[in-house]
Amino acid sequence: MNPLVPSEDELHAYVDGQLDAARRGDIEAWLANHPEQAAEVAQWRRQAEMLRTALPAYLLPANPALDPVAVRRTVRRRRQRRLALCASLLITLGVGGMGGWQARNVSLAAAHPPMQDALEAYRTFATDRLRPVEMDGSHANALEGWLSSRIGRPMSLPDLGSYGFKLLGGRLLSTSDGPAALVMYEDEQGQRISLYVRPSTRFPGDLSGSRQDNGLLAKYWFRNGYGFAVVGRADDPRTSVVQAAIPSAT
Amino acid sequence: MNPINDDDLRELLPALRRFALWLARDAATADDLVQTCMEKALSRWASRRDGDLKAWLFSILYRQFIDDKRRAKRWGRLFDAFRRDDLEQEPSAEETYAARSALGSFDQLSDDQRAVLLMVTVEGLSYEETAAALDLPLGTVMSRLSRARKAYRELTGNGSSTTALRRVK
Repeated sequence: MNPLVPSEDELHAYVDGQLDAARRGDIEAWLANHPEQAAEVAQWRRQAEMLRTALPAYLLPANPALDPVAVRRTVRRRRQRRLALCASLLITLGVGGMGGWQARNVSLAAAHPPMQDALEAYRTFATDRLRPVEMDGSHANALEGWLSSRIGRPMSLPDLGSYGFKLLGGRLLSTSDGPAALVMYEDEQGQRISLYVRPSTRFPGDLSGSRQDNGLLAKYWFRNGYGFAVVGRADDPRTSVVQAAIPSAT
Repeated sequence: MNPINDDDLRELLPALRRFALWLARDAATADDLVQTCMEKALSRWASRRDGDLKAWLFSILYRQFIDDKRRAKRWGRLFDAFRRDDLEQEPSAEETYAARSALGSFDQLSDDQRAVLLMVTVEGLSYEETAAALDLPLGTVMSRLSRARKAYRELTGNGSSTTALRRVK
């Protein structure tokens, strides 16, 4: 006989069948002499019984979606759907972003045709028989140094001798983005072709193209924040090919 | 640690659904709980400690239940701000009826009391397993069990329905 009075925890454990046989016997004997506690314990037992017997009223219909195999399939499908959604979102963003950027360049180019000033400069100075250039080409190195230091970028004057053009000279012009250089070449018939270099904030990236404008042809390209253009007569086939002789164009 | 045994899981499904139903009191919510529980169980199988599978599943389900409830409460608070508080009045006829039946009384116990009582008396988990499943010290489980039993007795009230309407929070 264990003389110790059982604790409340022990009484719960007794009801819940969580005592070893010896202690259970002790408590059974103790309860026999303590009707008040015995009544409480009996009450707890009834409660548990009530809960257990109430369960069939809550019987649920079969739900095949809860089977482990089905759950795995659901998880897999959801993951695939999410991946697909992510991918399509990325693609949409990418296409939209790239498309938008492209459209921006196109619309910018349409509103302000790139290197329009190169064409205007040609029109103004190439037709000038008296003073087409500020500094003539007899000192090519000095001209090169002067233009390079003013536009802020090393500029080597290409040799267009193989096309029949020789250096006539150059001049400095101003644009809203800073100083621009115009270099003029002339062939033996007096035909002129120009190379125009200017800083460009509007088209910082790579962009190239060509445009005809009132009998003139401009071949232009942008590199590292500068715009370059070869301008000549549209009916002169050399206008579209001298670009190949210019280092910055390749 | 054993590999996943679908049959073991399948065998425990009825108990899980029952437990979820007792907690959630709504069949659809209960099965959603079980579904989430199963998903988590399958994905966390590798991190499972040795021990009773049933207790482990119950602990996942119970935590999910508490999380869902907390989230619902947060949303509820948000919506309450737009709503006059005329909802907190008399218990409805339905609630009154539920309170008179034994099961209704059980529904009025707090979540943690119901969880302890269910795990111990209906699902037959040991006190240690219950403590592990609810992430509580053993002593807390014991005191909750004691409080739950007393509260439940008061709610069922030896036949008198006056005490049965008292809300136990």
